[in-house]
Amino acid sequence: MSFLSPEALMFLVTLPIVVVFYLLKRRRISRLVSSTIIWERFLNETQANSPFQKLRHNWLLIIQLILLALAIFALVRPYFSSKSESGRFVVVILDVSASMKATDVSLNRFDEAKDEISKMIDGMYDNDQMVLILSGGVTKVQQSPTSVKSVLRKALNQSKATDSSTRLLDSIKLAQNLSRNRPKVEVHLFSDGVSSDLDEFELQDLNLVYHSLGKGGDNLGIVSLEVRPHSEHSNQQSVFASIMNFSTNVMSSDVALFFNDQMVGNRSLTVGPRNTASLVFSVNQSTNGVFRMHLKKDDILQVDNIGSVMGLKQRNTKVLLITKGNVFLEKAIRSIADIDLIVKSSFTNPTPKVDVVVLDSVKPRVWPSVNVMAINTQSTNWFEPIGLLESPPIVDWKSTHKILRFVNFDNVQVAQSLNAELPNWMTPIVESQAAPLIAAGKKNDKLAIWVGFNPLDSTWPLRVSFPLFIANAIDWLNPKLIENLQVGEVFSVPMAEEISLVKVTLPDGEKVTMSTMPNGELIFADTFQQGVYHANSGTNEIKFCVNLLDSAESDVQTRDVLKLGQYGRVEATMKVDSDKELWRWFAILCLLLIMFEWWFYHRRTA
Amino acid sequence: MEALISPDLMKRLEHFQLLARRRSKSTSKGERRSAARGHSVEFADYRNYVPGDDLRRIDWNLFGRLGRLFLKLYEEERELPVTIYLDSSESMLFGKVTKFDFARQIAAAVGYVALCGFDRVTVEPFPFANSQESLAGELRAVRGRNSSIRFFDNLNQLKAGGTVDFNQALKLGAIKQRNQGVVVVLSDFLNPEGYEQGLKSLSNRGSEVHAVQILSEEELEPSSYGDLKVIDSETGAEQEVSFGRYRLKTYQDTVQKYCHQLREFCQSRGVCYQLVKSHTSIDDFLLKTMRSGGMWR
Repeated sequence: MSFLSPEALMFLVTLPIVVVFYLLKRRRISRLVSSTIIWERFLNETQANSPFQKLRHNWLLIIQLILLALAIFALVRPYFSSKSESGRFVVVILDVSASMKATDVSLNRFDEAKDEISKMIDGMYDNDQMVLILSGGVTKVQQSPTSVKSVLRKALNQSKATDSSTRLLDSIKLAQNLSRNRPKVEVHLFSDGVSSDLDEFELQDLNLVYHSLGKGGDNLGIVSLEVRPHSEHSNQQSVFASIMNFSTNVMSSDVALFFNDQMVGNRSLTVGPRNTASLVFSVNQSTNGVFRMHLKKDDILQVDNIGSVMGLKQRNTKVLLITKGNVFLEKAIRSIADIDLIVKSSFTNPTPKVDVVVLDSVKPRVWPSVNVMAINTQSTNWFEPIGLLESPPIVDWKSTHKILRFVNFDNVQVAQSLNAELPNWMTPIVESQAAPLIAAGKKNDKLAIWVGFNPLDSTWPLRVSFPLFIANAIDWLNPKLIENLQVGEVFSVPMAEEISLVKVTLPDGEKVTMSTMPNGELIFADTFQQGVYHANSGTNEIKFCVNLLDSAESDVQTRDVLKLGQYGRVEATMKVDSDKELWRWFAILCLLLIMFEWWFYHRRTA
Repeated sequence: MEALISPDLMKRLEHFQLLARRRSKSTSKGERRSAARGHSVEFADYRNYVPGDDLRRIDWNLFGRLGRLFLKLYEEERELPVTIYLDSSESMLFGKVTKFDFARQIAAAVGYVALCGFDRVTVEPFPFANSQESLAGELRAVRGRNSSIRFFDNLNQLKAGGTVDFNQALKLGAIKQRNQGVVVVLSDFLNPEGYEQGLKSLSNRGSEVHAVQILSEEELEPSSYGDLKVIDSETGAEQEVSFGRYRLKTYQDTVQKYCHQLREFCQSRGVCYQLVKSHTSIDDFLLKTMRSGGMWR
């Protein structure tokens, strides 16, 4: 045992003062007695019968001396030495992902982690600093660096586990940044190690201590859930689901499907170890609503036993094609499923009631106010053409762009193209050596695709890539509202212009009032609970569903080793080294002694 | 002045007679059997006739049988000297009924029983104030029942105070005592120098000694608690003591031990010992305790 404040030992000089006080304190009451002989014998006998007669005579003095000695002992702040040193900068990363809700340990993994962190806080020196980072779908600094234990405890108590996936990479990078240029840094990661993004991180010299949580156990979880229109019956929806067994035992469960809280299907399911079973429910659907799938299994992780998806009635995409005549283009558009195509030779109404306008080598007087694909033409507001390019070779295209999915320009030749300098809101996706040939972008909330050449002046309409491009482009220009999100994803929806405030009701019933963006868009990012969210504004209601649907997160087996980057490995440590100060115990002992002295004194003189 | 003993008690005491295990060796005539031969109705022995003896005392019947002259001897009846040593030190003034008053009542009772039995009573108060010298003289060698009133008066006038060397006082008393008799010591026996020497000197003189220890209620069960400085009333000696209820039992054990030691000492020296609390009934003590203790019958 050592002392943090040995200088407090100088208070030992106060011990003789107590003796003096003791002597001064004993003001005695004089009593005249017939003879003192009995009293003398009484004192002699009581002293002679006690092994520590002098001590017994001065019990109060002894108690006070012990009391003072204990107080001094507490002041010197004794502690048991350990490996840790003072003045540390401790970064604590607490995993708040869904898998931390697994109940394979007492309470759950998250609460166990909080207990461990609480012990670390108790063991902090005064000059130690701690940062608390919560790592879920997003990384959040729950508590900035501080030495105040009460603040840290409060921040820890306010931390809650979410239903999101784990993204430990951002947290560890943040910890690395926070600890840069600090001498004594410890990064403690409290997690079950369920994270798939750590391969990108190189550990370098970061002092990372991994505290593995959980013991593992049986878990059956929904890993995918989707609603699609039935391929044969237009009034039906097909609900597809994948259920995975993450344990090493065969597991069975009942799976129930509800539509707007009415049960529409129920199946029994048996899944082999580490296997996935697929389920398809065909359900008649007359209105929009929410499909909720419930896995009736009492396993260690309940979050992945429920999934919800929005089931919306199918609606065709309306496309207006303005062309002087392009059979390839018209055929390509018509071949797209669920399309209502209107073909016109001139554009007169600037606000057509369609989803997409395709301008084929036509320059309208008024530019359409909807999403546009402009082929061999351009708005004057976009850019001025510099000139024409003759036989521009296609040298590069962004195959990762959504519009160019499965599109190949290897055998496409272009005879002539407009030569234009792109504005900064537009991104070239197909380029020749001198100028972009195809570009896409968004201006004033309107999507636009610009094709700088007439397809009829190229070999492109004869290639498979042309209808694929047109299908991709129409799809891109008519983005569907995404009502089914994963936990942590941002929900955005365009609202009517007059709406400025939207009330969002979370799955747990909490209500949040959100302001729409200046462009009338509602952006809601607090999607860390799975379930159905309701966004209300007046009589309008928009529902959207948030699900975990993460097989990595549902795999609740413990990971004793955390792989970081190509070579980094961090093994789990269960116990935290910490210096536990003992002064509180001595202070409590002092208090008990004071109480005992009080009792003893009153008993003695009563 | 209040009577030391009530008339009723006096009447009952008149029926008592002091018990003396040994025969009186007093030279004065009295009503107690003695070893001396003299004139009484109690036959004692025979002896050979020598010329000059009173012929009236020859046993003629025996001369008729044996043909020799024998003289009949009779027991001489003598008085029994009763000495009462009365502790009149300052310490005897404690108690609700002071120990001194209680002691005087016992002295009065013993004296009255003795006077009724035609015994000679002497009261020796110690310490003895010079101002009361004449009074002390009046209390010496009082005889006869007629003297009882004056005896009580004189006893009533005695006052307690001052310090005394207990042993020295009893030693002096023993020296002054010429004849064996009954000695009653009335004291609290709380003397710093002890009591052994004094009692020993009295018992060595052959007297029948009765020791009556009188203690007050406060001495047996103190009512003052806390951090005390107790001051000896006689010597002025101070003793610091911290005392509480929880130590009362220990204190009482100490007192009992002290009394037990005194009792054992008395038994070893053939001294009769009685312990009495000053607040007990004098009637009960005199009529029951002292009677069963062999003081009188």
